[in-house]
Amino acid sequence: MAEYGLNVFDSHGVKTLGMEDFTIQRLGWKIIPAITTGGVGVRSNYDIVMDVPGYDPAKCFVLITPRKYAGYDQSISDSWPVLPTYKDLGGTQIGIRTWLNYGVYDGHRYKYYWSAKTVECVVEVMRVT
Amino acid sequence: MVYGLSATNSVGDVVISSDHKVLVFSERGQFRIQSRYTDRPGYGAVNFAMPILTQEPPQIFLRIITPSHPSLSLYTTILGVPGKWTGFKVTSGAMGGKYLQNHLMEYVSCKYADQRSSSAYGMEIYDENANVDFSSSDRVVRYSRFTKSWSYSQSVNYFDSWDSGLIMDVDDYLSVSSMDRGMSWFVNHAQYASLHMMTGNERKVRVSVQRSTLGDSINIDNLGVTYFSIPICKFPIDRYYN
Repeated sequence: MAEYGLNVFDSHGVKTLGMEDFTIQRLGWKIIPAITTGGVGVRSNYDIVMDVPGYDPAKCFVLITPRKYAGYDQSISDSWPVLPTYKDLGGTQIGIRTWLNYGVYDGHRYKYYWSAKTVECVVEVMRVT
Repeated sequence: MVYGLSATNSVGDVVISSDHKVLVFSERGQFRIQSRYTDRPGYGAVNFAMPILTQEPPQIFLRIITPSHPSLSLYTTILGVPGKWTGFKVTSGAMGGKYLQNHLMEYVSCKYADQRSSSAYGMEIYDENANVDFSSSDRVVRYSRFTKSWSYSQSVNYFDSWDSGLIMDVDDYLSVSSMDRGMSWFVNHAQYASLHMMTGNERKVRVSVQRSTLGDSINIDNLGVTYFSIPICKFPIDRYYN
């Protein structure tokens, strides 16, 4: 047990927080609305860039969780939207990416398109210690 | 910070502070994922004893206690609405073969601290808006690992796979809250998508999809695989009990 700092015990005497704990703290969060769009060509810019003070790619992670769930079984014709993903853009910036670039082969060559279809979700930037 | 409380450990990391909310334990229990037909999905559901009152969905962590099959993939529906999450349901992929699915599972639900202490003693930490950031009734979740980078592969034409590179220990719990229809890696190109907790008796964390529009290339110049983080934690019973 750490002999310094803050230790917390519950009513059963179980230590519930100590200085040796690796906690998961939330540095920032944002609700991202549902986005459905698309176009021709290859896309590279991000829908949303979050600048989160304290963000360090080596110590931080970005959780992306739906705020709405389909509530029915997946099926071949299912069109319920997916979740965005992210990239570290350098410094304290995070790019939120809703879209996919894809190539369609027309028998001779690929033609490129991009498509986005994401559900309303919450993006949470977490720091682990 | 110009006010409040910050506890920093010996290597300079802030363990807890009044600046940021911290993920805490809510409850745990067991349930089963069962199928009625060998060629149909399995289902498992839990109603929380204590609904979670946060705007953001809870993090639902699952562990396989006793698998009925060597592999398990699933997706999740969290029940309720923002402000009152009441439980969850998981749907597992059909396994085929001779036996029905009957996986014994354990869940742990986690949230951000949102309530005052249940005791008349101890400590409460508030943020600048007077919301509870932490109380001594809370049991903080200890970080173990997160997924981040994934490797894309296409083993056969109909199936694509994204591998996190992480293999869980038997006592690891995987958050499944983010896996409903999957990620933007395969927008409009998947018929079924699931998060794998076990493949061939190995607790590999990966995502697979059954592809639609098979001729399309969805990982142009290998730039399509962006980051996606899923936490993996441990919840020993002596600390995280109901």
